[in-house]
Amino acid sequence: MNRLIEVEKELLRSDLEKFGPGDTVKVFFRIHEGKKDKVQVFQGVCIQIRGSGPNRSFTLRKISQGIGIERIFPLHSPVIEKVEVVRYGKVRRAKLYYLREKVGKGRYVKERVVRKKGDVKKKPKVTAKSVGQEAIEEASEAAADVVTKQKPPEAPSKEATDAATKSGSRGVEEG
Amino acid sequence: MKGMLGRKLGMSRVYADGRKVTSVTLLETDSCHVVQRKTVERDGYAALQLGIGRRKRATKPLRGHLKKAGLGHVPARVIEVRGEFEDNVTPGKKLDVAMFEPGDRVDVVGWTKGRGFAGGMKRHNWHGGPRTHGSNHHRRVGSVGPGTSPGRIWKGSRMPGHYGNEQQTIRNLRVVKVDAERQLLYLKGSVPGPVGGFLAIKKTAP
Repeated sequence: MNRLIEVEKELLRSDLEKFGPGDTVKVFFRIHEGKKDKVQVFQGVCIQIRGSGPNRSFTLRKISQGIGIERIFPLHSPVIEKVEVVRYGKVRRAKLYYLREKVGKGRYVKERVVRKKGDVKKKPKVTAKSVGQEAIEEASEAAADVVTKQKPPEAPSKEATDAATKSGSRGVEEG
Repeated sequence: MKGMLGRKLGMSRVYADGRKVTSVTLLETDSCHVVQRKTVERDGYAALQLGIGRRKRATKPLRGHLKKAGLGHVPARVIEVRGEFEDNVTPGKKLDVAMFEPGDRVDVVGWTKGRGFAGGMKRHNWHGGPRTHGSNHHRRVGSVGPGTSPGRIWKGSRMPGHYGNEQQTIRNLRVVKVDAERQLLYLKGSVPGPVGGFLAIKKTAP
């Protein structure tokens, strides 16, 4: 069995930027379109990393036009061109499935400020990007809040939650 | 005819064509030596007796047999692969996995994992009875045939019994990759037997 693991090591990729659950990640991956290869980008919060060896995969979740979208990537796939960490998240568990049920502000993962030696240059760029992203997300969130406020206070967010869950499961199919 | 012996190393996955995830079984093929060549004239059929692996002890008759082949070690297992082989495959020669190429089709003969005396559910994929609601017919066999007429059970009725540890051939497996340096063969799909089990690999007849 050890020999198998030795052999498998060659199949693994070590060139990708490291990230963990809670981090907002941008994945550049090649897709086949007609005869040409095209690079597509998917940005989302990493909500799980599972598997070991060449079997390892991660799930990214994002909210697009109010619909939750999740996409699973094999970590060691040659299809992945590049991985970019946009924002480090501060989380306390390995699988962030709870994000699926969250509405409004709770949907976001707190930022973890990372101080790396010799990595000073990168940070301002990262922050600027994440702020821009948040602004867009906040706008759509504000719209959702309006709907919620119109309901009686006893069950304010139930319908909104249902809608989010429904749309979330629908969105899982394809990015 | 092309063929050799291998040892199951385990299963993994590779990215075929640079994108598609493919489940593969890895076979170790180093230390595969020819022990004897059987011919139609002398033995009545054409085959190659191959040895794989290493072990310390051997019976005296086997030692004599190996000496004839000019083999310096005792193989863990000696298995025969039938078919007409090329003339340069002579006793004592080590077989190289490079005889196969990616895209080739091979048949793999092995021995399945032994499951002992197995019930109908495991052996024949029967459904069994309900687990709850007062049923005591959990994993039992149901009816095995008609009543008074014929008054006996049909011969060959499927019933519980010994399962596994039998020879099985998986045909037409695709060779995904050949690692000649480490003598590894990557086959798409699964092969019979446990990890470490010995297998005969033959090129599929077209």
